[in-house]
Order: sequence, then C-alpha cells, then structure tokens
Amino acid sequence: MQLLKSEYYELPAKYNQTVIRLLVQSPTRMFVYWEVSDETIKEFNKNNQNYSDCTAVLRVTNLTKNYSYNIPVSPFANNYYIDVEDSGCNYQVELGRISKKKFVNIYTSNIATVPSDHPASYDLSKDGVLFGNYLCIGNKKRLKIYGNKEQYSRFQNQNHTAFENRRNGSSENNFLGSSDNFIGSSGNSMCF
Amino acid sequence: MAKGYLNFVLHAHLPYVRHPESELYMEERWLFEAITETYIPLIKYFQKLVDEQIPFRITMNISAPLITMLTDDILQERSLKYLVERLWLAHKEIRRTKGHNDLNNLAKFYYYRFVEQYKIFKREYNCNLITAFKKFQDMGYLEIIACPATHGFLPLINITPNVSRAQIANGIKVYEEAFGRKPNGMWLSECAYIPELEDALNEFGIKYIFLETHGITNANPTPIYGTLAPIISPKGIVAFGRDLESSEQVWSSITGYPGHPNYREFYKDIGYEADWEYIKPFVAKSGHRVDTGLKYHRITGKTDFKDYYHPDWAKEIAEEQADHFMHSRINQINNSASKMVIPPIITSQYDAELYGHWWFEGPYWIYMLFKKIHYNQDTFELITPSEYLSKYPNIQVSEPAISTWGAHGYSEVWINPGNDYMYRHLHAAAERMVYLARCITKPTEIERKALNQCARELLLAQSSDWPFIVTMNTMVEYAHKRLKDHIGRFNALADMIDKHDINEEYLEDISYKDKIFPNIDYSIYAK
Repeated sequence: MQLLKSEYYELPAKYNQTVIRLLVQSPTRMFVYWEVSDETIKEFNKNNQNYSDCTAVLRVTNLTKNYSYNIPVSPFANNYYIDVEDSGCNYQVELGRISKKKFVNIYTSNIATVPSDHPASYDLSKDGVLFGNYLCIGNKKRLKIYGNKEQYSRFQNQNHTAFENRRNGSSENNFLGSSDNFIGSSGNSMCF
Repeated sequence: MAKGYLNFVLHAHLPYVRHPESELYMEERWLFEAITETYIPLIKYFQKLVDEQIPFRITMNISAPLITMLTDDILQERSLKYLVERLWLAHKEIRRTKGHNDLNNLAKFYYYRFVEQYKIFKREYNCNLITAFKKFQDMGYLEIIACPATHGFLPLINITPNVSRAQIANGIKVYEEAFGRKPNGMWLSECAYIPELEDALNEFGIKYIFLETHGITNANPTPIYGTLAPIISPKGIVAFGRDLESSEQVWSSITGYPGHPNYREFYKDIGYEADWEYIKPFVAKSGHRVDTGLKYHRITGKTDFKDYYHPDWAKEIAEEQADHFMHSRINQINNSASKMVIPPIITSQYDAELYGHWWFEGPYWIYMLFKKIHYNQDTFELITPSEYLSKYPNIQVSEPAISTWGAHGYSEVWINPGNDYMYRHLHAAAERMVYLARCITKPTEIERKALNQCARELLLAQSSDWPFIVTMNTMVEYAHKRLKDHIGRFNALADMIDKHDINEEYLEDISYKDKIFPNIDYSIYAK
C-alpha cells in the first residue's frame, strides 16, 4: 500500500493579472468577474487621476444591436451580475474607471452570446425548409443539401462552408418520396 | 412496418470520487449505491431480455469518471465489500425481524436480492461491470456513447482555447479504451450546447448529440417536426431533442410514475432508524448514519405514516405504468406519423441513476416496457440513434439553440452566487495549462509526467459536479474541497515545472490519488 500524504490547499486570493471575463447565465443575465494587477494600476496612475479615487464602471455593449451603457460598481467588487434586456444578442463588457469625467478602459472582456429564449422568427411558409443528407457527411463533414434555393444561398452567404454545392441530376429529387411534401417549399424545392 | 420509433436514452455519470487515501469518504458510497441499485439491476434485466429473445434497443452514456471507477481495483474491492456487508446485514435482519411477518418477508427479499447481485457482480463479471455493458453493446442491443472527459460544463469553461477540445478528446479516449470502438454520439454534459463546440465534435468524429427540448424548438430555422425528428447543424452535427411528454411521465416530481404510493419510499432507511450499535458496521466508516439500502416502507401517500413495502404490489404498478407509457407513445406516434414524411422518433432521455437508485422499481419498469413494446403492439419499435440515422439520413438543416437540461433551461444551476467563484480559478488554471503546453514542446520525462498530471488535475477541477453540488446544497463542503484540491495540485505542480524543480515524490503521490486518463497527452492544449 502506497503511503499517501495529507494535503491542504487554499485557492489563490489573487493572480495579479488584469483580466475580465464574461459568462452567460441565462437569456436575461450575465456574470462578469475581473481582476486588476498592480502593474495595470501603476500604469493607470501615470496618465489619470489616482486609481482608487476614480469610480469603477462596467461598460456593457450590445454588439448585435449596437448600443452601450455604463454600470457603476463598487471599487472593491470583483464580480457582478448584469441583467440584460435583449436576448439572442452578443455582448461585451469593458472594465473601466471614470477619470476626469471620462471613461478610461482598463480591460475588455470576451464576447458572449446571450441565448434567445423563444423560437426563431422564421417564416416556414415563405422561406421553405432545407434538408441535408447525413450519410453524405463522411469524413469530409459535408452535407448534401436539398431544399429551397434562396435559403441555400443565404446559408452560403453566412459562410457555412460545410455545405457542398453539388449539382446532381434529377434522381436525387425523389428522396423521401416527393420533394413537394416539404412544408412551404412546394414549387421551388430543389436539389443541389 | 413500424410507424415510428422510441429512442430510450440513459445518462450514467458519477463524479470521480475515488479516495485511496482513506475509507472515511462517504462520497464513495455514491458509486456503491449506484452499482447495487442501478447498474447491476439494469444488467440483470438486459440479460433477461436477451435470454427471452426480445430485441430491445437502448442508448447509454457512460462517463469517463464512471468507466474509470468501475474498472478500478480499489473501488472494485470496496464495492464488493459493500455488497457483502449488505448481504450480511440482510441476513442479520432476517433473524432480528423473526415474528414480524411483513418485515421478515422484506428482510428475505433483500437477502435474496443481494445474493443475486453478488452472483452477477462477482461471479459473472468479476467485479467489472464495464465488461457487461460492453457485452450488450457488442451484441447490438445497447449503443454506448461518450461524454466530455470529466463531465465539464463546457459553455462556462470554453473561454480558453482547447479546453472543450481536451474535454471532448479525453472523454472519447477513455471510451475507446473501454469499449474498443469509436463512439458515434456524445452526451454533452447537462445537454449544454453552444455552437462553438461543433468544431471539436467534428474533429473527434462525433456524429450526434442530445439536446433539451428548447435546443430543438428554438433552433433556427424552426424545425418543422419539433423534437420528433433530429436536426442537423450547418456544420454537420446531428441533434436529437428531448421529448417533453415521455420525459414528464417519468421525471415529474408531482405526476411522475416514481411517486406512486405502492413504490418503495426512498427516504426511510434502517440506517437512520436502527439501534446505533447494531447498525454501526453497515453505515459510513466515518461514523455517520447513512442509507444502508434496506428500506422497508412504501411511499403510501402524502403522510408521515408509512406503510410496509410489498414488492409484488410495486411490480403490478410498474407493469401498469409500462403499459401506460407504451400506449402514450402509440398515441403520440399515431397523431404525428401521418403529418411527417419520415417516421417520428421519440427521444426519451433520463439520468440512469433515476432508475433503481431513486426509483427502486425503475429497472423492472424498463424490462416490462421493452417486453410489452415487443409483444403487445406494432406501431413503434425501439431504435438507437445510429440505426435511425442510417435508415433516415435526410434531416432538416437547422442551427440548434443554446440550451441545457438544467433548471430553467440554461446555466443558472452551474453559475450563481454560491459557485461563481470557481470559474475565476478554472479559467486561470486553463490559461496556465495552455501556456505551459505551448512553451514546453520538448519536455524531459519527468516534465512530461508532471504536465500530464497538470492536465488531469485541470480536467478533474472542471467537473460540473462541483458547482452542481453547491447549488443542490448537498455535500457542499466536499465540492468546495474538491475544487480546492485539484486547483491546488495543479498550481503546485505548475510552480514546480516553472522552477525546473519537480518533487517526484509529490508527483507520484497525487498521480496515485488522481489516477484517471492513463493515456492523457497534455500537448492537446498547445494547438
């Protein structure tokens, strides 16, 4: 039997790194935490009012709808829960201090996607339905696409490079019986 | 020909709770209880179905920590010891309850149950239940899928590059070593999906995943068949969504099957009620009263007075409920099949430990359900995801929605004021891991060992169980300690690597304690 040592650890109180990270809790709430290193504070003090005399602020930016707002936070805080109005959007948060009435950026977070909490606003009867053949994935991880031409173009425009544009003959049109069966795609359903 | 299909999925996972340093940790009992109450009963009924030539299909995820624990020598020995102790306790109970007809019958019921379990566990599978699950997979009845390495909650740790890749890759590695094949599917921990995971899933050959209902119903474009058909993402990952109706029938704490008054009451156990001196050898080694597995009462109703348990009455209810479940699926399929150009597939996904551990009669219910599906109807068949995909490969293209199967459907369980402090340390350790892996491309032998152990500690720290336990307010101190231990070991080793001064004795000690992912390669973090 191996002799096993007893151990005891505490988590580091700080890492002395400047960091701000944004995490998503739900469609209406994000969590952000941060740390500012001694070095960063020194740098700040060179160009601004004294760091500890400045109000700490989080600047929240909705990148999808393109608006920002500030949230003042306690100078001693190192994390915060941010309630957001718009779900289904990308957000980014800057940690800053107000010096001489101006926002001074200290560090910028990662971009986080707040999920949508409702079905996609997608008009099936207008936009049609797109089907892919799973067996065509193979090692190339590519899909053979059936469906509506406009929709396919839109996917392509979104840089979904996984699609393979194969213009096959008519034989593939008959998969799953008649392609006219697809909701909303009758008439213009086609195979690429 | 079947009009539709049932895709019955069990997710089996326990956190890595191996403590070779001491038998005082109560958490190892999670494994022992799951073995005796869920895994052995499932294996027993799978075998019974095979013997009765019933062509059932079931999909199971067995997580890497669980695979590792079920194949670990120390834990196998302790599991066997636990089982033998149950046998001994049931034997003592037969004597103690003499003269009390109801109790005596129950003591005998448990005694014979443990004798049968001993035969399955020790004699048939030599204490290694992974060989049993592998056998059923090789026979074609069971499709086993993989899971991220330590069941990490990926949306919240995906901040650092390669973290999700390492979770996915190491989960698959353990799977392949255990089952001798590549997995087709992956159970994303807590069904937590974000689109950023798809590149790693593709890279390691994962073809399908499972999602919570709104992962499908909120997908874009809206899936025309809801959860009754899989969708395929633009990057080529197939997603099956949890069916709400069949799920509620089992899961619901109010109307779910497991709450029937004739079923065994989980919360009354002789571990809490028997005389201390008598029960002491059978409860926790730390001297705490805990469950022994011998429970003599039935749910009875919403009352503190609990009547005695009658196994035969419970079996009758399980049969009735299996019938009800089957007819509900027939109705569901009859109502939807005519509106679909492909046969509907109902995906019913549950925690494996619900069956047997929480719902004592659950494994028998599964057995009866599968039997009834085979003999009593021809509307639908059981199917695995791989079989369904090969039969019906044309799938609607749609981007799944960000979702989890946790309370409220997102990440509140894993990030809230009780556990949010963890992420700061998890991200810092992950960043340091990436930095070390990128810097040290030609390690010495001892550095390589230390870096691999760092990767193990990081993965163990990332287990979703620690924030989960804190939120559930159960073994909170243990969860905090586990995070501290793994982050502490990681940082201690990383400091040694930085200083070119690795303490071999220390490395050996923690490598023995956290003995998981034997073939891990730290360089995965370097990409």
